Amino acid sequence: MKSNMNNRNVRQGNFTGLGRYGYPGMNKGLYGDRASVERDLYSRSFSRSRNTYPYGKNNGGTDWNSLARANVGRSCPLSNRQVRNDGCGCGRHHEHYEEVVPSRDHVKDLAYTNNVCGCGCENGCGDNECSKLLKQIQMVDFALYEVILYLDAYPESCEALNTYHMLMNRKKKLLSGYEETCGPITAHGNVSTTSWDWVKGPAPWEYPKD
Amino acid sequence: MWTYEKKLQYPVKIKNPDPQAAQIIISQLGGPDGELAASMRYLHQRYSMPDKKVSGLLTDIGTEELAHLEIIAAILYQLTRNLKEEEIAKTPFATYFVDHTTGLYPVAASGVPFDMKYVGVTGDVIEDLHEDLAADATITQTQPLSNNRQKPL
Repeated sequence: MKSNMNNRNVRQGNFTGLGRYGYPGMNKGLYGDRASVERDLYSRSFSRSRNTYPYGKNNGGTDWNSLARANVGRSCPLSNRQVRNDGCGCGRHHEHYEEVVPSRDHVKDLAYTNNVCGCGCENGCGDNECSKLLKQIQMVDFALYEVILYLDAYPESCEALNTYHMLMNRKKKLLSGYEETCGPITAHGNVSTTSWDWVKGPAPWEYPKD
Repeated sequence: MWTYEKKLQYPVKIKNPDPQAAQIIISQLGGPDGELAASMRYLHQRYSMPDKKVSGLLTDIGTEELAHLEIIAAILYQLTRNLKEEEIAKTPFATYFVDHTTGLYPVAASGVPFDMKYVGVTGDVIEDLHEDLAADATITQTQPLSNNRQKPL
């Protein structure tokens, strides 16, 4: 049963008070989602003494760089990789930690066939989920390009590499959500087996009907 | 080789068409300090760079400049949509319109078509990088003709 015995963790919300090997309902976690399970796992193995889990700070994003810096020399619980002195080696595989997941339940209701989005507009509606998703992808791509250019000039920077992997994880999630429901972003992303959506829909340079 | 992503790097939404502004902004497309010149410059200088970091950097910057080219083209496309002939005839845009209508042809605002002479590729890394520095500094010249010109970055 859950208890408040470990009061130092109450602020984070993961106050199970039991050992690291689990408890009934562990797969669901405190809030019923996998992310909170791994949050618990991560915080128990890393932050018993240091409370270094950055979840909830940094505007709800995950600050891999400070996490890596705080845990230099220890091994990552997910991959058992040793975190190097420069902070490398702990950013790439945490795909499931990213909170920027497209809201699939909203988006899958929209049909995207024959140039018409779910709301009935010919040229792409502004306030439908597809435009919102696209804007999020544009934002992530913008930051991604900055990190790529920085890494071209400073390839040895692990901080930039961690940021790159964090942004790539986000982009992959957003992209798969977008391409499954709104149409392809690249010619290699045409998910439909019945229609060639690459040539359908508004062109990027047309006036958006926002 | 290049992959194309069917989205603008930055969204463009021009509510009111304005052929006068289009006549000035067309220089960003095909002028000596425009995005086409920038992308051609970076993408052609990268082949003779001695260091992979530099050629990688020039490749990525050149690709991004092609994306900027698309943004400028989107701006011009939206500035010149749904125009009537009498609106165009009064503006300097008329001289562009007579040959290209609302199509997008890379010219400078003076009417000179894009020319590879705007770009220097010497094969010498120091010369080429100096040319890139000079080209990026000309961003001060191509700022919109307004009273408060912005300082160089």
